[in-house]
Amino acid sequence: MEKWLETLLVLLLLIDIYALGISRLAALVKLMALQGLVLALLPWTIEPVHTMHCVILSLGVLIIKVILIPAFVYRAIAKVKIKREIEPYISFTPSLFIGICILVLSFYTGQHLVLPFAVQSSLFVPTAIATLLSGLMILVSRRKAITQVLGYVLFESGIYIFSLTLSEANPVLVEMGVLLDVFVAVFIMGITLLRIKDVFDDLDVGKFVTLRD
Amino acid sequence: MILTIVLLPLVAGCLALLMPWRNLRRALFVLTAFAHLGISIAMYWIPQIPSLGNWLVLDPLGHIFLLAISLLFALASIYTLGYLQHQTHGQTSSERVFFACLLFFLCTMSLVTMSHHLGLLWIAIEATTLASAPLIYFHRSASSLEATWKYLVICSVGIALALLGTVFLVVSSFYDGQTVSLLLSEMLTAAPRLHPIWLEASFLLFLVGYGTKMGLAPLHTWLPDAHSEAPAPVSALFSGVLLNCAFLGLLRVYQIFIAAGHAAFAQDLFLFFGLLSMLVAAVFILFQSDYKRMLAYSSVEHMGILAFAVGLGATAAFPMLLHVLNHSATKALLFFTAGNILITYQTKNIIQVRGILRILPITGFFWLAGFFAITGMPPFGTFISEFNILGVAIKQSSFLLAGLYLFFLAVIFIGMVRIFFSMAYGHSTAPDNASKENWLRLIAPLCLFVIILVLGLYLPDWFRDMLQSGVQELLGDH
Repeated sequence: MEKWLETLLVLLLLIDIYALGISRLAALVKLMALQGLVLALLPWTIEPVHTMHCVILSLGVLIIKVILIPAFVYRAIAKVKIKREIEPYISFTPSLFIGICILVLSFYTGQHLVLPFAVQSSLFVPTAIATLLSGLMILVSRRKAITQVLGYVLFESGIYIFSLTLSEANPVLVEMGVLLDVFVAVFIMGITLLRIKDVFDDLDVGKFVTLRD
Repeated sequence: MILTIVLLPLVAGCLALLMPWRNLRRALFVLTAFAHLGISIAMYWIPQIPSLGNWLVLDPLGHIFLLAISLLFALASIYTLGYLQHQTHGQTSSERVFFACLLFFLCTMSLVTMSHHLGLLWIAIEATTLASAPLIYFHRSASSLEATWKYLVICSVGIALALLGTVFLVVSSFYDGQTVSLLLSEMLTAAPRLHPIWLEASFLLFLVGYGTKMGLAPLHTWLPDAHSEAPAPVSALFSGVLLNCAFLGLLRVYQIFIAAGHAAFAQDLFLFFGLLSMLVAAVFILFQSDYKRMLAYSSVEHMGILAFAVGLGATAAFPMLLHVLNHSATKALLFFTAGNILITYQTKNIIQVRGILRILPITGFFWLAGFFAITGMPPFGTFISEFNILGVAIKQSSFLLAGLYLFFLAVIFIGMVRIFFSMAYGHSTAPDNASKENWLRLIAPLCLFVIILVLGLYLPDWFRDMLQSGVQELLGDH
């Protein structure tokens, strides 16, 4: 089990780094779907396995993070006809470099942030932090509103990974509620996006300059 | 009954979405709002049995917030009818979606006040963001779209941090091989043995998370945009009760800190962010050119005052709760009148608005009364609460804090006096065909005016008892 767990966690770390270097939006959406798949498998590798809990959680993640959110964002991309993130505030090579820094920082913090209980893998906390930070990084460094939505999804996944460290304490109902909230958030952001495209003829949040003091 | 008050607006919202007849939909909307108000008042006398296994509990603290929500929503529902008469068709988004979102908004806010499970509380607070985001975009302008986007992204990310805080809280409760559930009652019992470092870390995340939604500086950036772009009844609800919901979230966490004997840590942070919010608000009000944004910054100020009062500790809890209600009523009054001004003058620019008293005498009167109330002048309720908060600070001999508090209040008064008076007096600059007073849009301001005046002159015993039991709930001494 532990082997599987660590394999999945390493996969998640790779996805985080990769996400920072992608400019094609369609590829980024696919990557998020892949991440969702890994997240759905993750509860099964954490001991002790509570079958009921795992089934519901995986199903929820599968439906929302692997199917609904990617499908919805994919459609939005097709509608607004924007293929890639051009000239982000921080371009892709420096982003990758920052990704490496995030990795180092996560492992450093993960080592010092000692949980009061034993965690199955020492990779657990660093992966959660790295996912959180990469999500934040995408949120602040990209110009296209659509990329920001994906950054938000990535960010929330980090919290999900963290909450898995306390497998029993989190009631399934709350997890489902959180997933539902995230989906509705993405849904409303998606609708807003289409309007932004209509009105501004672009999805560049750098053009949002009317409201300021 | 607890479930009814959450489900009623939810069901009504779904009906509003499906209903093809405009007038029936409007009637349904107003009826639901008043039914909600009726139930939440009735709940004061009928003891409530916790619902869903203690997940939903109506305690005295939550009830105070719930009453404010119901009352403001009912008043806003009447105002909305008057407001919609002046909207040209085609320039606004569909009325169906608007009413449905308003009702969902009411449902999620009621849920916040009764959530006694911190996970559910988070879900409910995030849901208020989602239900209210489409409301900002009612006027279909580019700038309202920009405000909607900022609101969605900043608040969602901010509140996500509070979710991380919730997870940290569970981590801190690990003791003797197991963790405590997120039920408030269990957390409070387990509080003394919570792991201090994780507890403090979780508080920081909660403060940033719910603080973003509450509008504490420097996380308030979404607030002026959303408040100025939203239609008037929505701005009134945002400022009057939505911010309170996030504040209640912070108070719930603070309850755990008191029970843990760790309140001092939280109080210092509350004091700091409270004063910082007042400072930021003061600076932006001084150099403001848009009156709706000015009111929005005033909300940042008052959220700062509330945080400051929490930071002063137990003795300031009573005036703090009183100020929650005073601010809700006063700010809603101002946003309603600002809506009337906007309809007549068709501009949000302060310089282009002159002579409100000449063309809209009643609105102008409420505008000036609202000014005196919001700056904490007697005979209004805010005077009592702000003055008592100051009194607590002085009694604790924290003269630096009291001095800063007073200084910021004074600066804000100076900033506002210029704005309000120049708008109220002088020759009217309204367009010739401008719309006049409309009684549907005056009922809500009138009721609120009476409320803040009464609260300033005399606190009825039952009202005092209600606040007192809220204070006891907050401080945990029953």
